[in-house]
Amino acid sequence: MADLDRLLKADISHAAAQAVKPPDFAPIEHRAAKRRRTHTMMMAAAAAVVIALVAAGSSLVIGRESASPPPASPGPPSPTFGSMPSGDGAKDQAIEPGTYRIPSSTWSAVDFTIAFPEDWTVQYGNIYHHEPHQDLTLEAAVVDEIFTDACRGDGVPKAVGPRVQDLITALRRQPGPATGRPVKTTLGGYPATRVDLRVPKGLDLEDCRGADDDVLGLQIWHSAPADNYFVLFPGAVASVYTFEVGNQRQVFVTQNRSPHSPEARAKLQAVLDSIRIDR
Amino acid sequence: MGLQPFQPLTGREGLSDTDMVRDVFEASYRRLVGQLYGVCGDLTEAEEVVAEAFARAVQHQRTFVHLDNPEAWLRTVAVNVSRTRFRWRRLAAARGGDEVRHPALDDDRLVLIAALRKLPAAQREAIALHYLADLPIHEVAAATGSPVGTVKARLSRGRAALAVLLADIYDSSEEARHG
Repeated sequence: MADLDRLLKADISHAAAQAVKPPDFAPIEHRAAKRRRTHTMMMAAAAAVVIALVAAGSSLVIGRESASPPPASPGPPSPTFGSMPSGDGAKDQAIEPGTYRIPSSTWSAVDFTIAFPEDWTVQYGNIYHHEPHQDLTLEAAVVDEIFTDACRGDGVPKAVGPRVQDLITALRRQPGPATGRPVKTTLGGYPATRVDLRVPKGLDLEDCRGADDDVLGLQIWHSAPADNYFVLFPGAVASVYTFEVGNQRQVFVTQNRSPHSPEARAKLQAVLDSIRIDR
Repeated sequence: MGLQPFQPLTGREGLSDTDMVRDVFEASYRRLVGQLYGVCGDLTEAEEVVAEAFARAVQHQRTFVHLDNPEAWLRTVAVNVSRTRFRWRRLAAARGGDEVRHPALDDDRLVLIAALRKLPAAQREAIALHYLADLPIHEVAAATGSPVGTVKARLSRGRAALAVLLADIYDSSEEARHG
């Protein structure tokens, strides 16, 4: 066997550097310019909304107390929404208390509105955490693929059908996490089915494939559209809410890492109860 | 083109911000690809993550041109990009994705790169940036967003794991040779 010290040398990096030459810079410049244009357009649109709101004398966020007297215009005020921080990768950004309209995207099949009180942050623009300990998490998800085994196996997710029942069946077939029978409930004004998940007692997460990436948890699914794994952490209770809007399956998933705390449960439920689906 | 040490951007009056990023690109592109090759284990992937880091530099060029060490900034961005993309590569590989591309290396070094790809991401990054890219530990810590002590622990664990992986690979090939 070759000596490790002899192999771990910088000549590998040098060989790699010598094997390439800088490509044309123009496509890189164009890629950045395109992103800047998109960003500028979004900023301009946001600025236009702010100007319109200021002109109308409204506060930016509905449900937020305002020091100024209400406008004298007749009729009910039209609802206005805060601007959700778009997120900068994994960095958490604070959410101003208020109501937000979240457009459909790779994360959500439908548009929805959601209200946050204080102490919530957003990551990747779409994963909402309760601070300071991130004990509560909520996100919408588009789930096209699910792992047949959340712990072991090849780590390659399998396609899941488009119906509500397809996802529920796939979740319940995963060995371990599903804790009981699906529960009929409502979310956003729609009849929904909830499946609760927990890491089974006695399961050593060090033996699961997530440990290879220093993640001690169960990989429930990988949402390919959003490039987002949903990982169930030890001691937490995750609830997957699934329902149909039109012909589309909408999924919300929560994770409560303080499941025995009535206060934590109430905080999470309050945010869940604020969700309204826009069609 | 030789790999010249990075030149600071100060004293470059008359150049636009984009020109300055392009200068860094020409001076640092190959070195960064060399450093990221060990992290990615694939030359094409290393080129793509470095190109993406430069795209973000152009996107934020007004800030970028005032950085004290733009190459360190690019390295950090490239490592972050590689983390996101690594999950995709693993999925693609499991599905029979693209072939991995390597520079001209002898068999022992190719085996080392193959073993490195099997390490947990954090250990792989530390080993690749410290031993293969020859960066001091504090720069590895900066590039990976980790404390120095954590990097040292990852290097220690990573070396031990790498030794086991290499021994397994060589044992398997010996067995195959002797039937």
